[in-house]
Amino acid sequence: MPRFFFNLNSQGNVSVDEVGTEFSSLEAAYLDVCNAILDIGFEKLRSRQDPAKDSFEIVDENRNVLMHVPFFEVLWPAATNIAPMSPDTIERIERWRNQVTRCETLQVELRAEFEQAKNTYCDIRANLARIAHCSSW
Amino acid sequence: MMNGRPSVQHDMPALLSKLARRAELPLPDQQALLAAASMPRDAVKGDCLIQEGSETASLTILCRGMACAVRTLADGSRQIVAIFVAGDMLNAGELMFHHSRMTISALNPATCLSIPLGHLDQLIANRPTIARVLWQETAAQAAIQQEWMVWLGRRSAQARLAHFLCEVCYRLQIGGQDATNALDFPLTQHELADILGLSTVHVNRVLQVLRSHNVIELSRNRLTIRDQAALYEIAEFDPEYLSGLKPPDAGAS
Repeated sequence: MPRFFFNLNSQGNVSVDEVGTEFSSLEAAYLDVCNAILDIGFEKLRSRQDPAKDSFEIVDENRNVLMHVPFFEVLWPAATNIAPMSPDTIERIERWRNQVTRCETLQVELRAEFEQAKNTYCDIRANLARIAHCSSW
Repeated sequence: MMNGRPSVQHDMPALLSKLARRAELPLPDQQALLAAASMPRDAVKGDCLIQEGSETASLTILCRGMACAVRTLADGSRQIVAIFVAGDMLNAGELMFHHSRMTISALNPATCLSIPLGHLDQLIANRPTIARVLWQETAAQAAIQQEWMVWLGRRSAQARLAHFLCEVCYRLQIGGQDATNALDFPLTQHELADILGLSTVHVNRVLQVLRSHNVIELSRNRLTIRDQAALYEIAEFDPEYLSGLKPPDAGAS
């Protein structure tokens, strides 16, 4: 049976598994990790610690990371298992997104136009001032 | 039952030495037990020593090795409900039932001795010490079961594992294994998980923590207790339930 190693990342500290455990497959190892997360998660909650940001890494004998299993995936399955959106909703979101993009483009164009108009106005004012200066001669 | 492996030649009195030492069984009673016993049987790791549901036909004494009693649940998960070390009787409490209620398997190479119930009845009738040893064995196993219930029900994963390691170490030493803190430990992490009611990865984590604090070392079937005081403290281990049995003559007074 292959041997897997289970590194625990908890509150920024990585605790490296140097012994490992044999499992028949990666799937079997993953399912056991899910149970371990429930056990460890509840133990942490009981001692008033937050397990939400912890995670396990499943590593093979050559130290390749095979899987990353965050605690929240197991402790709050609803957070990662939102029902798929209907095509109608997806189309509306797409339409609104296009409109937002169009508005942003228009805004940029308007700002450029305004800037150009401002420059033209400055030029006109400068010319007028020059004309007035010349005529006073 | 056992798979009919051919037995090697055994030194018969040595087979009972661990039980005799622990139960302070006088020599004539040892000889009577050996005379009543069937041929000793040898088993390798994983061999079934007693099958769940089989008829209770004899008392089985574990003379060498370790064994575990397993209950398999409807969803296929397993719970190891008892561990036996050399010198223990595998089914002292089961003798009052028609059928065995659990499967008992060898955890490493083991040798068993069986005493058919007919012979055992005669021994009990004629030899009060043997009757008392049986009574003592059921009391000792009941005390162990009660202790397991406490840590399984109320203790953290670390305390459970620590308590189990303290207990096994203590029992092996009573049974005559050398009184050092390094001993043969055939249990895998999966088997520990089935004893402690935890997932295997959780057992792995707890072992890592105990290792990193230099309390124990467990590798290649060898357990070394590096800091017994620390392990006892984590476990809240009080060996009274293992060592507190009255000696044989105390009961007669």
